[in-house]
Formats: sequence, structure tokens, C-alpha cells
Amino acid sequence: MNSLKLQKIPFSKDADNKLRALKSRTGITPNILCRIGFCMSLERSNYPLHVEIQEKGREINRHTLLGDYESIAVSLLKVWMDMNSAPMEELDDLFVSHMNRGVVSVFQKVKSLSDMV
Amino acid sequence: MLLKKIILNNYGLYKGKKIFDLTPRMKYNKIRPVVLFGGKNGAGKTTLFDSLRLALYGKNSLGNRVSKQEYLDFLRSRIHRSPSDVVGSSNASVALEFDYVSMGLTDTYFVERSWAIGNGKGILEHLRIEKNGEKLEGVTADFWQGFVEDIIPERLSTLFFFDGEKKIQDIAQDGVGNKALAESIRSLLGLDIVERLKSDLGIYRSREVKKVASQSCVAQLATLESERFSFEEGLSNIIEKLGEVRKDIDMIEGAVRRKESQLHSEGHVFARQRESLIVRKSELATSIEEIQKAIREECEEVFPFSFCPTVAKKLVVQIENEVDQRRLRIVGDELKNIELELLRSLEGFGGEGVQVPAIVSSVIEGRLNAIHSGVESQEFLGLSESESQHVLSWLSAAEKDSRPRMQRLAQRLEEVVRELQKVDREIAKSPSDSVLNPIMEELAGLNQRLGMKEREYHVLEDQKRIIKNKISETNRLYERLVKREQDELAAGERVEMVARIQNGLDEYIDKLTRAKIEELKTTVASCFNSLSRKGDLIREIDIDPETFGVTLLDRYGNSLPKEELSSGEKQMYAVAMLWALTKASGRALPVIIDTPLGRLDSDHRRKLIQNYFPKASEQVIILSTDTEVDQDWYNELSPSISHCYHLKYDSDSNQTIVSNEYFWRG
Repeated sequence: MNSLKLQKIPFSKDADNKLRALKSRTGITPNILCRIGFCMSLERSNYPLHVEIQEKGREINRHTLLGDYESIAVSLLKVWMDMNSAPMEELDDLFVSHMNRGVVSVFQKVKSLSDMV
Repeated sequence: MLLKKIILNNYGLYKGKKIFDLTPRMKYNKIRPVVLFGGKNGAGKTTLFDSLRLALYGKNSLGNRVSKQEYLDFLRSRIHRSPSDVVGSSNASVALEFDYVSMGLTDTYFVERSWAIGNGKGILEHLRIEKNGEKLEGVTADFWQGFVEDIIPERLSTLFFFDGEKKIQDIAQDGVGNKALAESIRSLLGLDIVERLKSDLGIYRSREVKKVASQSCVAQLATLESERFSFEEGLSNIIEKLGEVRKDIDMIEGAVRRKESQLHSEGHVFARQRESLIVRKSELATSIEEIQKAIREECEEVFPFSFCPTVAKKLVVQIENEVDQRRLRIVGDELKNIELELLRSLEGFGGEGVQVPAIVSSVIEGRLNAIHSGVESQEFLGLSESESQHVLSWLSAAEKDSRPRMQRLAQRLEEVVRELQKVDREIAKSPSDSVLNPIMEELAGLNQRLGMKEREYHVLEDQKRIIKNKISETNRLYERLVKREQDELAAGERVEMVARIQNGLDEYIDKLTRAKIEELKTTVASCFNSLSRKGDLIREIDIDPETFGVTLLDRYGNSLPKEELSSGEKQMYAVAMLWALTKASGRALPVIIDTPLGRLDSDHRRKLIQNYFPKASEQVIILSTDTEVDQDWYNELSPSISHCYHLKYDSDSNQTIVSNEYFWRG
């Protein structure tokens, strides 16, 4: 069975800035914000753009990013790929692009902690 | 006195000769006292009002400090100018006809003041007086003035001719009103005449005594007189000072009251609230932090996985499928093993039971087929048994526990934040100590000044008492001296009688003043209460017999500062004062009111119309606009109305057109 091969997940400069802004708005750490954004991105059925990272922002360690919840995150991504008939080889790519797209979604949704729901 | 007619000729806006009949007419066997003049602003009401005063008082109607030239200029300006006349009028007149009862006889007087532009362009004024239709020859303006003064002293005319807008306000103002009021009261009550009589008698007696007294005694008397004079001067100084200090005290007391109410409204209560608001604010801030922390903690657990419910639902199904498949696969493998084992065991059986293996195989194969047909979906998750269980429980926790918890937290957070904003606003509203302290300091300063003024007042009072004692001591010495001389010389009964009369008059003045003031007190109170909307707002009125200062007392006997009356109530108070004075004076004089209702609300208007106008006098002349005595009030007042005039300004001819109807009749 396929599993993630990436050890570090790259973010664009733009996503990185958004994460910083969100951190100061809400006090929530980037890894958690990324988890939320990742799930929000999975809920959308269209394909995320492939992230051609021009300006590199931060990279987040896979374990930091997912913690104990790697299995559920990867499982959810696999279901999304099944639903969208994506070949399993794209797992890493899609993981990265969902993560990056998700940051934008969280950024738009959350202005303060009470918008979290 | 009854005003019969006023005749205006080329006066102000009135072109040609206009005759106004002012005699109250009899209708249904009852004299109706009110003569109503209606006119909008600028129609000539006040001109008419002024013309009455002009006819009676001439130059004095403009006030005491008007020069002859100013008066003549005024007369010139009052000559009617019409745009149609090229040359313009060169003369004008006002004339008044009235009845005056003296010694039980009614005489009709006619006074006409006419003036014209003379050859040298100066103004020539001419006064003509008729008594019972006969021209009085050789009557000078001075004589006339004296005569009119007797009927209505000019300074009292404001009591009878009053302008609702200005004059009335003066009465309500204490400082200004007191002195004028005192004089008015004295004259109206006839006290001035008695006092004059008394001092005349004193002069007479001294003269009689001095005629026959020894030189030394005359000198002594003169010394005493001059001493008394200087004491009296001192006394009047002190009384004046007392008045000033009293005024200051009243003013400071007013300021203290205002500051206290400012303090009350701006702070005090707030100041105490402020502390509790600040405590509340920090409580709220703490609870906001707690909620935020809870939210962040929630986010670090499974909450993020509640953001993709569609995918999550599919994942649950997928996991269950994969778990089932795995189980079925195990069952299938097991069945295969069982089949193999069964077939191996059955090998030795042989013989007639050849069909048995085939039966076993077909049953087991059938089962296996059934299992395989159930396992059709793909397996791609590759989760172990325990991983599957974890994922399932996380998904369920995210959806069923975490999300509702977060919703409650977010809602609570919003509420608390809103409350915090409210508390912040209230804190901003409530002044801090830095706002209140200056007010407190000012208040303390005021109270200190008040204390000083009050001490000053007491010192003056003492001085007043001492000087009064000195005066009476001087008087006593004087009396004794006169008495001694009188006895010695036996100057005769006349002088003795004078002394007795003087004593009698003293007593008379004292008792009369008290009696009149007593009467005035109840009259003012009842007048005010019959006019005031609030019923018995004023229980009693206290009038100081010496200073004639007026104190209002409410129903609990507390003094009610006049500045606490609303401006409408002040006006009603002034009207009541005037009404009571005219009543108490016992003089039958007409009452003429210009713009009577300007500042009043409808309740006060009703009171004036129902209770005052019909009863103010036997002759009440009202000059009103259409909004003051409007149609409703007109109907209300109509049983008392004798007749009406309507004054209308015609802008084309620049003059006032007079008709015999009020606004709504005809």
C-alpha cells in the first residue's frame, strides 16, 4: 500500500505569510492551521493546483504537521483520490497541494478564534 | 379709571384717523370686560400699546433717561409715511378719552397729543386736555403729568400695561424686582402717603417747638437731627449692603446647587460603578483567555477532521468495507482449509460413498463464491485492524463531540467579547476621578465663599441692629427734649396732638403694612395657584415687611427658589404678582396686555384664559396674535369678550387695515 514518502512538506511564500498572520490572529500554531486547511481542501471536489513553488516559504516536518493523526489524514486523502479517480502515485503531490490550498481557505474563513466553527 | 377711546391719527402704521372704542360693552345684562385686538406680527399691536402710554405719559413713556431731543425724534419717526403720498404727512396725533372717578364724581377726560413738523423742520408738540367736553385752558404739561401720576403713577404703569414678553420677566427676577417691587407695594398700598404725612407732621411739630424753644435747645435739636440724619444714612447704606450680600449669597447658593447636580449627574454614582466595572472587565478578560485556550486545545485534537464531512463519511464506509473484506478473506481461507482437510479425510472412505467429496466440495465452493461476490470494492487504505479502529473513533469524536463543543465555545466567546465591549463603553462614559475632582474642588471653594458671605451678612445684621438702636436712642433723646421744651413752654395742644398723631401713624403704618402684606400674601398665593398648572405648587408666600423680599414656600413649608420655577412658571408667578397687586391696590384700573401667551404651554394658556383674563379687571385689553388666542381659545374666552378689532398690515399701502372682527369672525 502507498504511504507518504515526503519527510518535509514545503509551503509557498504566500502560504507561509498567511500562516504567520493567522498565528497572530488566533494564537494557533501553523501545523494545526494546516490540518484544518487540509481537511477544508479535501471537502472540495475540484483538483487543487499543482504547487509549483516559485518562492519557497517554510517547510514543515511531516511528524510535526500530522503528529499521531497521520493515518487519518492520509486515509482521508486516499478516499478523496478514490472519489476523484486519481492515481495513487500522486499521493505525495496531492498531499502538498491540498496543504497549500488549505492555507488559503483557512485564511479566508478565520478572522478570529470565534470564526473557527 | 375706564379707558373709553383711543384715537390714532397718522400714527405709525395707522394712516388717517383710526378710532378704537375701548369701553367694555354690556351683553345679556352682563358687562364683558375683554376687548381683544388680533393681529399678526408687525400688524401694529405694539404700536397701539405704546400709543396708550404715549398719550398718558408723553416723554416719560420712553423711560426716565430720555432727552427732549430723543423724544422729539421719536415723535417724528412715528408720523405715518405712505408710499402713495409724494409729500407725506407732516403731522400726527394720539388721543385718549377716559373716565376718572374722584370724590365720587365721574369726570370724562380727553387728552390729545399732537405734533407736526414745523417750518424749521423741528417737531412741535401740542397737548390738549378737555374735561367733560370743556377745554382746560392754561394747563401745562407738568400739571398734566402730576394729574396722571396721581391716577396711575408712571412707575406703576408697568403693572397695568404689561408686555408679556419683557416686563413680566423682570418681575420674576429677584434682584431686579425687589426694589421696584417694594416701591410698587408701598405706593399701591397707599403707604407712601401715610409716611409722607408722618414726616410732614414731624417737621411741623419741630417748627412749632423751635419757634418757642430756647437757643440752646434749638442747637441741641439741630445736633440730634444731624446725628439722626447721618445714622439714617448709615442705616440705608447697611441695608443696601445687606441686599448686595444677600444677592451674592443667593447667587452662590444657586451655583452650589448647580454644581451638586452636575456632580450628581457626572459622577459620584458612576464613580462607584466604575470600580465594579473595572473588576468586571478583568473578569471578562480572564474568561476570554480561558475560552480561547480551550478553543486552541480543541484544535490540536481531532477537531480539524470535522472539516471534511463528505470525505469522512466515505472513509468510514471504506474502512468498514475493507475490514469486512479482510474478515471474509480469512473466512474464505479457513473454508478452503476445511475443504482440503475434509477431502483428505474422506479419501480412505471410498466404496459406495463416492458422492460425498463432491457434495462437500460443492457446498464449500458455493460458500466461497458467495463470499467472493461480496468482496468487490477495492482496498486501498491498507490500515491495520487497530489503526482502523483509531481512525473510526477519531472521525466520530470529531463530528459528534468536538464540533458541538467548539460551537458552544465560539458562541460563548462572542457573548463575552460583546459584554466586554459594553463594559468598555460604560467605563469610557463614566468620568474618572480627574473629571470629578475639579468639580469637588469648585464646590468646596463655593461653600467656603458662601460661609464668608454668610458671616459678612451676620456682621452687617449686627451693625444694622446697633445703628437702629442708635436711631431710636436719638429719637428718644429728641422726643424727650421736645417734650421737655413743650412742657416747659406749654406750647399748646397742637404740638401735643401732633405727637399723638405721629405715634398713631407709626402704629397705623406698621399695622397697615402687616395687614396689607398678609392680604397680599394670600392673594398672590391664590392667584398663582389659580393660574398654575400644578395646582397648589405654592402653599404660601412670605413677604418681608421691611425689604419686601418675596419667598415662595411649597406645600411642606420649604422655601422654593424662584430659579427652580420653569420660565413658563416664572411668567405665571409674575402675572400672579401683578394680579394680586392690582387687586390689593383697590384701584380700578384697566389692564392692558401685549403678547400675553408667548412662552406658555397650552395648560398655562388655559389657566390664563379661563382664570385671569375674565377676572383681571373691569377692563381688560388684550393684544394677541392668531397663534396665541387661536380659534379654540377664542371660543373659550368669548363669553367675556366685549368686542374685537382685527389689525392687518397691508404691504401695498404700508398701513394697518382695521376691521371689527377677530381672526375668525366674519
